[in-house]
Amino acid sequence: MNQRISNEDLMRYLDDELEPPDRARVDDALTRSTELQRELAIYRAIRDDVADLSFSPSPRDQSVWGEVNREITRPVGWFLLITGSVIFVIYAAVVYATSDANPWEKIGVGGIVIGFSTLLISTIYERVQEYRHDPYKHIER
Amino acid sequence: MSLQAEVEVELVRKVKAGDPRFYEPLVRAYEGPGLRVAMGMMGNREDAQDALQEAFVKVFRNLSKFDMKRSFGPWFYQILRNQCRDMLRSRQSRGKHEVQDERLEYRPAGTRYDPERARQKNAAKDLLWDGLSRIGDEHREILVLKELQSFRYHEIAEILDIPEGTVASRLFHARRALKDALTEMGADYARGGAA
Repeated sequence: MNQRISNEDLMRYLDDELEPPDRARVDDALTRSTELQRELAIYRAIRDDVADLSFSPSPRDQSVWGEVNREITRPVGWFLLITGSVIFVIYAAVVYATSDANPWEKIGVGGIVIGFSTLLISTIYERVQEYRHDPYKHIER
Repeated sequence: MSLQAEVEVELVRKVKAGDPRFYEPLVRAYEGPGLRVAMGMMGNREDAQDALQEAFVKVFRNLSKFDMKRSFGPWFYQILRNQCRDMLRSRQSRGKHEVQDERLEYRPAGTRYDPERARQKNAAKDLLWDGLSRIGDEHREILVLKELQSFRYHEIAEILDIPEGTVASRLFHARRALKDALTEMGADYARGGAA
């Protein structure tokens, strides 16, 4: 490496990031050092080869917008669903508790609702636990 | 597709104000170059798209913290870069091998297509990709930002959150690491070009 030109200056020269006086200094050093010329040529070749790695742009239908949109709107949907459900359950419970229906009828319907909810929640809980502890969940099928 | 700076600022302002409809043009504008950066870092399209998608979601969720005095682009690339790094770490910990078959591919640019020349070019590209996969993540990310996306030093400094003076130094070490990796694999850059 030429003593006057640092590695960083050589990179800035290569990437056209030097001020004119510094650029002239490197130009001057290059005319006097074949070693520096060779080094610059190597890095230029590597830079050009990497920059030449191109790829066909993804077609319109491969846009990530659909997935992103789902991800950002889903929490709003969940929030509305949960809030609405909580309000509905509280309202139903109040109406049911204050109604004039037969006590046996109330106990029966209450049992069915509680039993159904317990089964549903426990099944969802099991599935979530199963997924969280699945050692193969990252394997793409 | 690219957006004018003032249009971009206005879109960001509207999304920040709570209207997600204006997020779509931002996603559409940045997904092309973002995918290119992500593919450079992740090495395959599928992981790159996952990283890109996740980065856009994170950008949206953190937009309220975004300082409007900054440019949106570097902030987005900063989040994308962090997402890629997280996914690479997670991939390494799972020991998943990189998929090699759908990377950035050689696209013949000339008017006449020469299969033999294309084959040689593709072999050179494969070698280059192998070289890139052998250097560290830190080296690869700065090469991707500079060579694939042609960012200026001040933009790279903002994305990587490092002083501008460090960019040249990191680039030198990254290019040297790539040169060493390619030389080790049999490429000859001694005369200023691979053979």
